Amino acid sequence: MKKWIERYLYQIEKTLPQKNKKDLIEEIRSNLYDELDATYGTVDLPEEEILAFLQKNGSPRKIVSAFRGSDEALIGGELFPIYRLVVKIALFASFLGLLIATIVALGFGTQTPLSAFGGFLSGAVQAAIGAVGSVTIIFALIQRFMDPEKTNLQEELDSWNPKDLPALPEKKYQLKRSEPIAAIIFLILLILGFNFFWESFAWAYNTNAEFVIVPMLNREIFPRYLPWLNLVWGSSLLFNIVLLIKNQWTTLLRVIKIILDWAGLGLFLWIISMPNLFIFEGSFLQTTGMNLYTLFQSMAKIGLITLIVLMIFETGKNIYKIVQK
Amino acid sequence: MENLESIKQNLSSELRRGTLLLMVLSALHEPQYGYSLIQYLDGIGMKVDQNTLYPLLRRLEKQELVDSEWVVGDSRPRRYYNINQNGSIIRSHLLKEWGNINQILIAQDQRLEKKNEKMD
Repeated sequence: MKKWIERYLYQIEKTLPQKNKKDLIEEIRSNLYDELDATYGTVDLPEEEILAFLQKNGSPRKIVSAFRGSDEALIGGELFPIYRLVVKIALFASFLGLLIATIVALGFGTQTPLSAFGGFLSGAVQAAIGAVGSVTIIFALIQRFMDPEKTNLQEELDSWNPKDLPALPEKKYQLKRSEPIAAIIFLILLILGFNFFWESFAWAYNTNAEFVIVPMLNREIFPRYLPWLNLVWGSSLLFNIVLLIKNQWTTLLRVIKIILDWAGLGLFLWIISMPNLFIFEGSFLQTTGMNLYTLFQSMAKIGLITLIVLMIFETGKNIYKIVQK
Repeated sequence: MENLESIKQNLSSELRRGTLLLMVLSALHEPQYGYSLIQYLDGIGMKVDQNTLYPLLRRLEKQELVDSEWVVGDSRPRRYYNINQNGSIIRSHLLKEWGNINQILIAQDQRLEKKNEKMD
């Protein structure tokens, strides 16, 4: 008996509004068991009776839409809590990126505090509009294409059958929501940083006479690779949003994760192997006596080895979860 | 064209839904949890669907017309709702409003009856 009730409650909980979610689901659970006890007594019911009871009670979507109100919107009721969460994440990451860029600009002395503050304010408005706009477009597309039959509430309510309730996710499919959330923040920072502030990535050093800033990336070469980076990062962003919506791992999602991870690494290796991508010029070598190129090469090697080890570990973990019984 | 009986039923349930808020405020003169409130309303002839009632209770709480608290002493934890002072003021106001509407409808009906008698 408990199995079907818990599946039912899990489906409701998944799409309840974030606010007071725990409280709401506890109340729904309590009322559901009260009604069951009052109707059938506390005896263990046959499966068929439970299914009939749930059928009469209405589909999880019907319950959730009653708490939420209208289901007719650009971003449907079911997707809306995740949409709101991703908008918040996108706004947070955009402001964080903007704040870092402003602090760096102030630190390098390339802007006066007043112009930096002005730039931050106008950038914040643009970032907010951009973040909300792009997330809205992504979600409208997800709503339209991911599961079109679910957009018709009435149709689903008419044909709902509790026997179709999916099983609760096993441990290996359970998702830590903090993982996609952290990934989304990181990816937005990457996309913003490399699309809008890449010219600010620079070697900065102090000679005895002056503070010198030399751009790190070659202006002629880097923009050629930016669309590829955006493609991989954009796909990863979309993947993490879908993961948040699904709220659980599946074998397919793990396979896609492995592919995206290695595609990203391959692209990264390809790009950094391009000659003249990084600039090592200026009076730095002469003035400090350090061999910047050698130093950069050693640091890049350590960074790459760490990245590959992490990737192998992550892939191993995903494969283990796929084959785990 | 829709069957007259089904129109009658739809309009009746629409009218009842409109009065549900007042009905619930009146029923919460003593603490009730979700299912006990459904049973209570059912007992006085007001059948309510849980998917209508539970969100309504949440809305009333958000509007600060009822208070709620979890009680763990029963067989399972239950959330009890109780009307508060604001809720009582609103209930009195709505009851008065209900009385006025009722009087208007009765008066109108009586006028219509007299008119019909004259025509006969």
